[in-house]
Amino acid sequence: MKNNIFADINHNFSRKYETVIIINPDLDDSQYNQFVEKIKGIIAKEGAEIISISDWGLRKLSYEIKKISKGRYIVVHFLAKSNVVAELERNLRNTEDCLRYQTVLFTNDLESSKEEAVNV
Amino acid sequence: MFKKFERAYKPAANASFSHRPFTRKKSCRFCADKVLKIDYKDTRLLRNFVTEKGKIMPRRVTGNCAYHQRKIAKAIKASRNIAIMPYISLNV
Repeated sequence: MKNNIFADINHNFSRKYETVIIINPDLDDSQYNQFVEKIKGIIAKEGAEIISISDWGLRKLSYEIKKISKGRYIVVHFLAKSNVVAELERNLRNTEDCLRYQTVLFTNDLESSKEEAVNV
Repeated sequence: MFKKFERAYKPAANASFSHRPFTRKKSCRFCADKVLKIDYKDTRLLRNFVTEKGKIMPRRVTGNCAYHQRKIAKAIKASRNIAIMPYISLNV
C-alpha cells in the first residue's frame, strides 16, 4: 500500500525545472542542433512541455573539466513530473559531449535573463 | 551581542576601554531591499559574498540574516558545480 501512495505523489504533480548543461565547445552547428533536438525529444517523449531553451554561447569555465577550459552553456526550462528529470539526467550522463549538467527547481527568485556570454 | 552594538553608538564613556571602537551594526541587504533576488547564475552579486580565494564569507562579515545567508551559501555551491564560480582561485 505504501508504495502505491508514494507512486501517486511522484506522478501526479508537474513542476517547473531549470537545467543548465555545459557541452563541448568543439561541436559544429549541426552537431549542436542534433544535441538540442535530442534533449527536446527526451522531454517531449515523456509528455512534458518545454518552456524555453536559451543558448549562452561560449564561456570560460572557472576551472577545467576533462581538461577543457571553455564550455558552451545551454539553459532549458521545462514543466515536468519528477520521473522526467531522472530520465533526462540518465541520458545526459551517457553522452560524452556533455561536460556538466545541473537541474534545479524553478522558483520566482531565478531570473530567466541570460548571463553575459564571454567570447574568448 | 546587542548591548555591544549599543555601546558602539555612544562612545562617550567607554571609548578607551572598548576593544572594537568602530563596530557598526550591519543590516541584511536582502531584507532591506526586497527586489534583490538570489540567483545562482548571477555572478556579480555572489562575488560580494566570497573572499579573494573563493571561500564563502561568514555571516559576521557580510551582515546577512540567517535565512539569506543560507540561501547565498546554497547559491554559491550550486554555481560552483556548473563552473560559473571557482572552488579556489589561485591567481588572485
